[in-house]
Amino acid sequence: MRATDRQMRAKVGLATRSSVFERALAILGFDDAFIDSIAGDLAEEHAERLEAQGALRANAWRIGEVARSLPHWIRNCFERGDLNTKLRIAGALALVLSIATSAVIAFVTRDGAPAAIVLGGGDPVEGVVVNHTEPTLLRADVLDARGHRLAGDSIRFRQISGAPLSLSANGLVHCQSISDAVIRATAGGVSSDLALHCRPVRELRVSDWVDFVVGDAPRDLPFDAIGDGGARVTQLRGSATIGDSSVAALVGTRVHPRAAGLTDVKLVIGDRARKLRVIVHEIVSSFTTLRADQPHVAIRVRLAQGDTIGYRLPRGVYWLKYLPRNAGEAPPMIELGGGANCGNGDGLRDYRVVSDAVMTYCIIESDHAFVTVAHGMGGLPVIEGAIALDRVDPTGPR
Amino acid sequence: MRNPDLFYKMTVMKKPTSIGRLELAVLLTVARLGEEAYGLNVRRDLAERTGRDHSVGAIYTTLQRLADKGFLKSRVGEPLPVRGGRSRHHYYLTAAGVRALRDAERNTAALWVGLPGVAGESA
Repeated sequence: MRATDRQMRAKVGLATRSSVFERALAILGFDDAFIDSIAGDLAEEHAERLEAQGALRANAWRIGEVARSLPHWIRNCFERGDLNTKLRIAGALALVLSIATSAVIAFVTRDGAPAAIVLGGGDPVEGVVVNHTEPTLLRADVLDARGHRLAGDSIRFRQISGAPLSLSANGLVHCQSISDAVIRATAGGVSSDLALHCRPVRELRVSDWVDFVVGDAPRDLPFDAIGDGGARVTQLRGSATIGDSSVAALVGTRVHPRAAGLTDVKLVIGDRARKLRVIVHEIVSSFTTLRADQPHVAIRVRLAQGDTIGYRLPRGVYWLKYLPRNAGEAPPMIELGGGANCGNGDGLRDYRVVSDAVMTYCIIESDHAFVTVAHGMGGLPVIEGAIALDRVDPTGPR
Repeated sequence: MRNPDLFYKMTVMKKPTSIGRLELAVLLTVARLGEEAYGLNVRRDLAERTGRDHSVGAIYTTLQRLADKGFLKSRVGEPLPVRGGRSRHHYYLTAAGVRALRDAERNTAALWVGLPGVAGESA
């Protein structure tokens, strides 16, 4: 029989078939006569088994027989069927296989019974620290024995000891003052006790920027968390994220300079958030030959006692800074001259964390401006640092 | 040399059609059952003689392959109530089917020659 005859008869057959089984055979490309033979034989043997073995076994035989025969029919379809039928069958097999695979995966990875409750931001030793001053919801997860997070399990909270705490059953806690308590979280027959420390942070003080020179060692982010009575809060839970990790990397709150450039760090502690600017200065040998694409540059200085060194300054508007190599070192004597019009950098912000950098804001219109750096006869034998220049004028050096 | 008295009759030998084990078994069963050779009977007879219960799908696809090879033909019987009003399709050997059986017997016999112990024949 030609392929088109088979197709036509299959279509007619499909339209007149009543049972799913016979329709499936028609889709597989078998003709009416063939389908009748198979269906008739199944019906005849099913009737005999019904009488001899009962309905349950007869039906089970019929289902098993169809299942056993399926691979043969599919193979027959691929051997004899036209391209459309083969593609249809291949598509159906792929769908069945993907459904079966998904079902197996879902079964194997199914959730188990609750086994543990983990509080977000909780440390097994230190417990949970809350730095918020406003009511905040405690984050908690219920895990099964394999560590999978279980959805839909509601967790109930209550205080079991310690100073009275504003804590609701669904985990809304309001830390209005410094206090310590023990709380219990319960879900699905599992419970977990944890220490909760209220350490409200009223203010986050940060430096406007953190300066590095390419090659410098990592440093901690300079910030202070201020709590009740102006006291520094040392138990903190928060996050620090950096904008451009090609300029600097953030490991916890430690900044690792990578390449010359400028990026921001967002610091969030409790319900306080601040931004700091991280500047990594490019090392240059002179300030007077800068290009427009060099906005943050520095010249390293190394002075023995009695040494003095001077640098010409370019025209323009910029921050001029001395960046000590080692924290805590007293800065050298820095003088400006030749028409350098520089002022005090303080006063631009109300609060400022004291840093080791010495900075001044310069508007220079003279071609003769200079800066000298001198190390006196006392103090350390050698001081090391860098004179840095951060251009504010967007038009570049003039 | 040209001799008008000489003549020859040449037939192109057909390429021998291969026949599988189940196909051979079904052909033999159809040959044996004669008038009663329809799908259900073929399956039962094979199960009794070989001890192997082939599925309906295996038997029918084999019958179809043998029909495609030209070894079998079928005729439709009367509709039967026990079959839900469907007819039985009775199969019978064609001449090509008979030749295929003979070829298979000959080939098998040739392979058994020289193996009396294995074949169970007395030496």
